Amino acid sequence: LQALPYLPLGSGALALVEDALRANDTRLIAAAVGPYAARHLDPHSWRHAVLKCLFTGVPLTAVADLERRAHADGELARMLADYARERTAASRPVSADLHRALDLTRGDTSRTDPRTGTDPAAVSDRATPTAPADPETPTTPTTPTAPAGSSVPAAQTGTAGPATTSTPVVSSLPEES
Amino acid sequence: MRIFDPHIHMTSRTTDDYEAMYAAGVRAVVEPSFWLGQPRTSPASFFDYFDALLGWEPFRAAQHGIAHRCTLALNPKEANDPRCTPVLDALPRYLIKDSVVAVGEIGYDSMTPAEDAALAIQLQLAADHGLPALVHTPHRDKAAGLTRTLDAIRESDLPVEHVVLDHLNETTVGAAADSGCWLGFSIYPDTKMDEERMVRILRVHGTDKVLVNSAADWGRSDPLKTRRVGDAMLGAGFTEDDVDQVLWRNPVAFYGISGRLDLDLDLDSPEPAATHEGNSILRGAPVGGR
Repeated sequence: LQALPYLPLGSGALALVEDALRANDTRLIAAAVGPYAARHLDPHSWRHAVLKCLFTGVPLTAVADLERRAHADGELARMLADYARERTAASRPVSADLHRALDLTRGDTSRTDPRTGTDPAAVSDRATPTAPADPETPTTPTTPTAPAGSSVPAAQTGTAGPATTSTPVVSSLPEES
Repeated sequence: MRIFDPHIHMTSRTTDDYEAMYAAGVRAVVEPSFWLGQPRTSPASFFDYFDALLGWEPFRAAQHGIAHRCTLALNPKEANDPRCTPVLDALPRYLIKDSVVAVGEIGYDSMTPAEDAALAIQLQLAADHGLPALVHTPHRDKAAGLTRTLDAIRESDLPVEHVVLDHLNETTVGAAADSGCWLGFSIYPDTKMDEERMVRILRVHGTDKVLVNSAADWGRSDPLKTRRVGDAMLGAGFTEDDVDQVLWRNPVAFYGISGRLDLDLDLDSPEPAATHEGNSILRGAPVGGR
């Protein structure tokens, strides 16, 4: 999977990516959302891949070209907001990665890496936005950075109740049954 | 407390689990066919699995005083793999087996056209065989997945009263209840529902047509979660009769739709020396044991 972007395959290896995205082995999922998927995966499958990362605890830094593909993706935003609502309804934390992805659907790349421990709920006044740079994806196009004040707090996106954050961890084997 | 776990993957569990389940009051289980974690690459792999659910696993369960029935289907995830979809052609000859009490798990994983096709075909198979259907609601994009699932059910010949929608939670229970389907809830240690949330939902929606399962499998899960819900219900003021309805009579009524649920037959353990096609499970068992 990691070699796919270096091979002259066109979209011919998509079945391999889709197979890995059905897996629950987080190593396979993380490898599947690399640059090849960013280039070739259709929008529906790609959104499900992002959600699967959130669901299985694969950090979104593994998703190549996240900023470009998430930008202005209203359907992804809806799916993320629904997932946040479901977590909140279950009194479970909403991961910082989810908030970050939601920001990206609005073109806001200012949220810092969630694993630094920054509380996204408090990051409403961003003085120096830093575009996340993934060393795995050097071809990531520059995404226009929204003005710092344009970020909408998660509470206004349909997320019921106050959003909480947690440090994403790779969970144990997630449910499948 | 007598317990019927209407959704548990015993193939993934140990004999310690069977013993603990029996001690907790579990006397009957239904094991839906599902994804094994490792993708299958051919229909033959499914057929061996189906045969195990029809033969070896019920034998193993009976050694511990537990009746075992199954539901068979092509699972939503592998419905996307063209190497596996020929399983659909072979399902009719499996669905006529006595211990198959529903078609399942069917439903959506990623909501693809291939999943649409497999779901429609298998809802029809259930209708044609007089079987109910165990329908898994997706873990990702669950609310949208439920809407699409209900559309597929309404377009099929299977009555909603013959469908249980599984893995429901607070965000989907309302629409599921309005649909007229049975309501399934999976209680898990970390994900899905927990027993306290289950009790809150029972308070709001009542005990009618509610099935509670552990969905225990090869992931982090707990085959005693059904018992935990029973205890939590009693602790919250529900009566013994309420608990019996949810944990026994409701699953008996739902799978009874198949006309094949005859649980009395094997509630007594077979003789210790019993074998399944010449194989005993009694390695190291004490002489004269259960």
